[in-house]
Amino acid sequence: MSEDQKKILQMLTEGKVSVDEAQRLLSLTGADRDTWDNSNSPPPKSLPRYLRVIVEPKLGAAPEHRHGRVNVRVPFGLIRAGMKLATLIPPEAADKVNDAMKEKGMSFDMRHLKTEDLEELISALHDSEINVDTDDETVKVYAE
Amino acid sequence: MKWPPYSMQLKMRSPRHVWSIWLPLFIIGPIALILLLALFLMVLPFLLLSLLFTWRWNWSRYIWLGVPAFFSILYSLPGLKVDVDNEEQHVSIAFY
Repeated sequence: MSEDQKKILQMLTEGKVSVDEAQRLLSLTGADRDTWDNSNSPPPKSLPRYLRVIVEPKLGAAPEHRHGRVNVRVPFGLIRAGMKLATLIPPEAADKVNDAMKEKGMSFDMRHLKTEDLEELISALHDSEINVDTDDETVKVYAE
Repeated sequence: MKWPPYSMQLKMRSPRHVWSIWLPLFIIGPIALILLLALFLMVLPFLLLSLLFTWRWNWSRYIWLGVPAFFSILYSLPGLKVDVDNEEQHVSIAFY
């Protein structure tokens, strides 16, 4: 706050100027401009809508390790809806899914998946991306 | 506001065939909905009977709650794109 603005507020408290006059004077000193500058600050980043997973095989990879190219774009809304559906999976079926995933090396209980976990993942992917670079392929996971 | 997908594009390439199809879901959707509704009305008595017999095991909950979950997934489909290919084959599915 500048000296002029302080002086105007002082005059207002002493009753030397009315509220309208003080407002007009403040606008002349640039107080409104400060507000305008604040309102014109860049808007906050919008939340990402899609999860992108891209797998690109490397040209020099050995033929037996050469996998296909994958380019997937999944709306986060679909993942949220899928998680709601996952809560409807009967316990017996969920156990079978958990066992099948454990065989593939992913040890977690799908019944404990929560929507908050997904929101945390989205906010984490908002600012960063996952890049995995191996001898055979590159994997990129990010939100857009 | 969420809307169901209005079209779907399916592309496939193999050493023998190459084809691409565009399905106007905004035309097929209402027809499929009417057919599903008719089918639902036909199986409703059997469905109610099955619900009655499986009430003790709480299976009815999964059946009834599964319907809104299905529509929730359907309405979240626009924007989904899956594109997989290797040296010989290519499959691409996209919902708009």
